[in-house]
Amino acid sequence: MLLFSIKNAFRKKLISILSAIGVGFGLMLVFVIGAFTAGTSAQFQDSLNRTLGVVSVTEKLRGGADSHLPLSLPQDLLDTPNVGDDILSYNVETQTADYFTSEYWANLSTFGDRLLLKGLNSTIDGNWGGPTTKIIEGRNFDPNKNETIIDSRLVNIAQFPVTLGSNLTMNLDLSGNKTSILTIVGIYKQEDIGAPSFVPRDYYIYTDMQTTWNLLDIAGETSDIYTLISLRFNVKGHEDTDEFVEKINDYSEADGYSHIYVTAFSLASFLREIEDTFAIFDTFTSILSFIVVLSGGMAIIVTQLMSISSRMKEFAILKATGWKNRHIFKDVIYESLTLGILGAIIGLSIGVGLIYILGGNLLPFGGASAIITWRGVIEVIAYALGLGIIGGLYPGIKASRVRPVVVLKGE
Amino acid sequence: MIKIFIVLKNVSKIYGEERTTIKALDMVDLEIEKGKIITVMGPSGSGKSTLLNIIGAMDKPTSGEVLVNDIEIGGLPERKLSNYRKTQIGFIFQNFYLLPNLNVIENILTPLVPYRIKEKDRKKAQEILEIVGLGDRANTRVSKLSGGESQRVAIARALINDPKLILADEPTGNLDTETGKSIVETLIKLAESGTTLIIVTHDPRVVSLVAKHPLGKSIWIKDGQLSDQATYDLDCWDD
Ligand SMILES: Nc1ncnc2c1ncn2[C@@H]1O[C@H](COP(=O)(O)OP(=O)(O)OP(=O)(O)O)[C@@H](O)[C@H]1O
Ligand SMILES: [Mg+2]
Repeated sequence: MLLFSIKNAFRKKLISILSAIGVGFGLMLVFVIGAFTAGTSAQFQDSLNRTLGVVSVTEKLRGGADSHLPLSLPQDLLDTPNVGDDILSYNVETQTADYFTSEYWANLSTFGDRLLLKGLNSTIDGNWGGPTTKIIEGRNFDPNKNETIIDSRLVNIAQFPVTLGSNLTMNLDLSGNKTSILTIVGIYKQEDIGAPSFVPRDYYIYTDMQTTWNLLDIAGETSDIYTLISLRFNVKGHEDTDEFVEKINDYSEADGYSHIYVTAFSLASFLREIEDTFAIFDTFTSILSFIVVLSGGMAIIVTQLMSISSRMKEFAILKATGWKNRHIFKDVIYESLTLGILGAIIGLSIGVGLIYILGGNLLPFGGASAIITWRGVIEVIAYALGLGIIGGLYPGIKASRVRPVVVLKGE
Repeated sequence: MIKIFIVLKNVSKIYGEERTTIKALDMVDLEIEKGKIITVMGPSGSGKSTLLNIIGAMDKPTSGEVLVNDIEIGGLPERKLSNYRKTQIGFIFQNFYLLPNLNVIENILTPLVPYRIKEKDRKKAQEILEIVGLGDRANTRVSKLSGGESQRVAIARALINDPKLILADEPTGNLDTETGKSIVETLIKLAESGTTLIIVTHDPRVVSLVAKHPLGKSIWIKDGQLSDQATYDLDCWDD
C-alpha cells in the first residue's frame, strides 16, 4: 500500500516536487532558526555555568573606571566573616577611562562596540585562570613595559592593525595631546557571547597593573586603585552565590570595610534576567513554525486536491474493485505524507548546508553558533508528518467519498 | 437444479427531482441463473449501465429489491458493499480505467493493495495473465499497451479476487471488430468455468456470438424496461 501511494504521489511530477520544495523551504527555516536558537542558548548556558559562584565587587553604586577600590580590599574581603572562608580564589582589575581607547570604537564591528583597557596582576590573574592564562598567540605582557594582550575576536573585526607587534595609541586626555603607546605582544582566547552581531560588545585589552597606574597618573586620574574585584566561591548553585552577594553587601552597609562602601553582584543573576529574552526568541520560533505548518499544509492540500480531482475516476475504479473508503483515505494520506517527508528531506539538507555556511563568519550571523540537535531534526520530521496528515485530511475525505457511479458516467 | 443467482424485483431507478425526473429503470423484474452468459442490449440512454451498476452495488435502486447470491444488497451498509464488490464482482469498463503509472502486473494487483500483496497473489496474477493471453507482458507499462491488451489487463484485474459475477459495460466499445471478438471469446471462456457473466453492449455481433453459446442469453432493454426479444428497430442501434 505504501509503495503504491508513494508511486501515486508523483503522478503530477512537477506540482508534487514544487510543493515538496515549498514545504522543504518552510521546514528549512524552522530548522535553521531552531539550530541557531539552540546554539545561542547553549552558549548562554555555558556562560551561566562559567559564572557560577563568581561574585564581582565594585565601589558602591559605581562601575567601570569610576569605581575606586583600595588595594587593601581583597584582604578585607578574605577576612569578611562567613564569606572569606568560602572564597576559592579572587582576581583584581583596574579599568581605565573610556577616552583612553574611544578613538578605536568606530573601527570595531557594530555601533556601540567598545574597546577598553584594563590592568591585571599577572600572578593573581594566573591563579584565577583569567585572560593571561589563555594566550593563544604571542606571549603574556611583561610588567612595566607598556605591553598589551588583546581579545582574540578583535583579529576578525578590528579595522586597525592588531597583529603581534602592532602599537595601540592610548589617549591620556580628552583633547588627545597626551598619548602613550602600548605594543601588542599576545592574543588571548575570548569566546563570543553568542548574541546576534548587532548586539554591542565590549572588547578588552589588558596590560600589567603598574603600567595601568602609570597611565592613570599621566592622565591625572586616580591611580593605585582597583576598579573591580572578582571572587570565586565554593557553591552548588546560583542561589548560594546570591547568598554571598547579600552577605558582602550587608557587611559593607554595616561599615565592615574601612573607608569604603562596596556593591557586590553576581553576573549570573544578570544573565538570568537576560534569559527571558530567549523566551521571546522561542516564542518567535514557535509562531514561525506554526505559520510554516499552516502554509505547508496549504501547499499540500492544494496539490492533493488538484491531484485527486483529476483522478476521481481512478478512485471510483478502486472502489469498484472492492477498496473501502478508508483504503482510499489512507492512500491519499500516504501520498501527502510522502510529499511532507520529501519536504523534510529537502529542508534538512538545505538547512544543514545553510547552517554550515552561516556558521562561518558571514554576516549577519557572524560568531553566532548553531547546533544541529537531534531534537531539531526530529522536530522537523514531526512537522513534516503533521503537514502530511493535515494536508491530506481534506483531500483524503473528499476522495474517499467519491460515488463510483457518478464518476463513471460520461465519456 | 439450476440455481438462480441474481434476482431483481420491481426495481426502479429514478434520477433527478420532481419535474425533471428520468426513469432509468422502470419496475424491472429479472432472474439470472448461475453460470449464464447474458448480453444486455438497447439504445443509448435505455438504462443498461444503470442496471449493471445496481447489480454491482455501485449504485442503489430508488425502489425494489436486488438479491445477488442470496444477499439483499439494497440493505447493506457501505462497509459491507465494498466487501461484496470485492468478493463477488469483477467490473470491466469500456475505457479500461487502468492506472497509467503502474505496469501490467501491478494493475492486476490493485484490488489487493489494501490487503498487503503476498507472493502467491503475484503468482496468481501471472496465471490470470496467461489466461487472458498476456503472459509475457507482466512488467510492461500499461500506457504502452494497445486497446485490446489494455482490456485484457482490465479483465485480469477483475479476475484477481475470484468473482462470482463479471459485469462488463461495453467491453468492446473502444476496440476494433477483431479485437472485440477475441475479448468476448476470452470472457466466454471464463464464464465456461462457472462464473456468471453480464455483458452490456451496443454491438449485435457480440449478441449473436453469445446467443450461439449454450449458456448464452440475450436481454433487451428500452426506456428502462426489459424484454426477452428485440423490441425495437435494429436501425436505431448506434455503433
Ligand atoms: N447520475 C445521473 N443523473 C441523472 N440522469 C442519469 C444519471 N445517470 C444516468 N442518467 C440517465 O438515465 C438514463 C439511463 O442511463 P444509462 O447510463 O443507464 O444508459 P445506457 O443504456 O448505459 O446508455 P449508453 O448506451 O449511452 O451507455 C439516461 O437517460 C441517462 O441520461
Ligand atoms: Mg452505458
